[in-house]
Amino acid sequence: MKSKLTYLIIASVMLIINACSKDNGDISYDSRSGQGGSMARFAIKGNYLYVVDNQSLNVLDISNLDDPQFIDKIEIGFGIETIFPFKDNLFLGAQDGMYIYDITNPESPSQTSVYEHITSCDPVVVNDSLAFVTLRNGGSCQTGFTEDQLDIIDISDLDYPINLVSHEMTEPYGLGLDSIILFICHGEEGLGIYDVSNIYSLKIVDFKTNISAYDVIPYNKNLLVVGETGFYQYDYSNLNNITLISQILIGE
Amino acid sequence: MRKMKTINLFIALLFVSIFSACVISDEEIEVEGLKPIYISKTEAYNVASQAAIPITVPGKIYRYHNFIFINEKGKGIHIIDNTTPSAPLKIAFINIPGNYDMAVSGTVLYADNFTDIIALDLTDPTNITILKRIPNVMSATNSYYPENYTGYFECVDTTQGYVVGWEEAVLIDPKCNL
Repeated sequence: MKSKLTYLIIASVMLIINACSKDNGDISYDSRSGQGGSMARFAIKGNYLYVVDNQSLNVLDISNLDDPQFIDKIEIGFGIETIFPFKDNLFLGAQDGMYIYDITNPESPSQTSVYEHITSCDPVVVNDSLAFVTLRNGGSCQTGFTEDQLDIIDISDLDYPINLVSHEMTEPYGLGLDSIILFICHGEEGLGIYDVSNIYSLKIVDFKTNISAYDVIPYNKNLLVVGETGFYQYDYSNLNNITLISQILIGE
Repeated sequence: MRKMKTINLFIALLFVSIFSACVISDEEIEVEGLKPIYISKTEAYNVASQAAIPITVPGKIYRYHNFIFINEKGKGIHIIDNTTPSAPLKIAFINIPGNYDMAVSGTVLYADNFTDIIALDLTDPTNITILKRIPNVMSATNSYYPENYTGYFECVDTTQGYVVGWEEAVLIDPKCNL
């Protein structure tokens, strides 16, 4: 009996520690600043604001929030579209690939590597070892060659990103990652929720077809979704029953 | 008879068009194309809070504590109080012409205002103030030519302000084409 109780206490302590470390572990944004979606061109990391435009990465010092200072413009290429900060790195989604920049020295980001792919539009989200990149043709991203797809890339060695697998995807736009759950916006087709615990065989957890989805932000089991039809919030604490909790439709 | 008339008209038109083409080529080319629609710099810099408005063309989203920011493409930012996620409340709209992106730290909102980056004091979302403007941070390649278009267009004259769109027009001697 005593041992059972001890076990219980240890287990709950571990659970608490685990919960805390998980909370602190999500460092794609810091608490003083907020969290953007995968389509963002602005990212705050510590005392710096990084802004990508079509060709370059701009660095602004915001240590004095009220008085931002422009520090540097780093020319990168062409068709830079998105920025995703993770730990000491910035992952830039560009039309010709995913660029990884080291910001250990925050004022002068340096290029670590580039994962090249066929021209398309490609936001990116990452965790410690994997990058998820959606490739989409059409609109201003047309090339006519690639299939719309999701590339899953091994980034455990940032110097050598390696594509592990590609999955065909319908019109993928923004995406969001929470642990093993990947949310993918499929434009007018809706919102796909995938279990990526086995990256070689994605499992569809749910698919919301009655909305148009462009970008998402997962936070505390609350999913923010924006699309041409409006703004939606889903509760995904129970993956078997992902429920719409509110919406603000276009025109409202 | 009716057919005959049509043919005559066609021939007449053909002559006219050949003739006019010759005349014009001696002086200046007149073609159909696109011309930029400008917003003046004064209007472009009109950044201010206003009462909440309906969402019409939503762009990107950003979360900061209990607030959600939704971009209205090229127009500004909707501020939503999301203290109760089951009942999000639009509390204000910040008019920012040429805006698509944003990020927040502390009580400061950073946003693009065409090619400039502005820092706004969010302490009172219904009455924001500009803390600082950093001009020409972003390159504006996309606004120098019409996207997904082939043909003639009137070259952009940056002294007239920023380009917010393109409209069909008869152009005289256009120097730009795609």
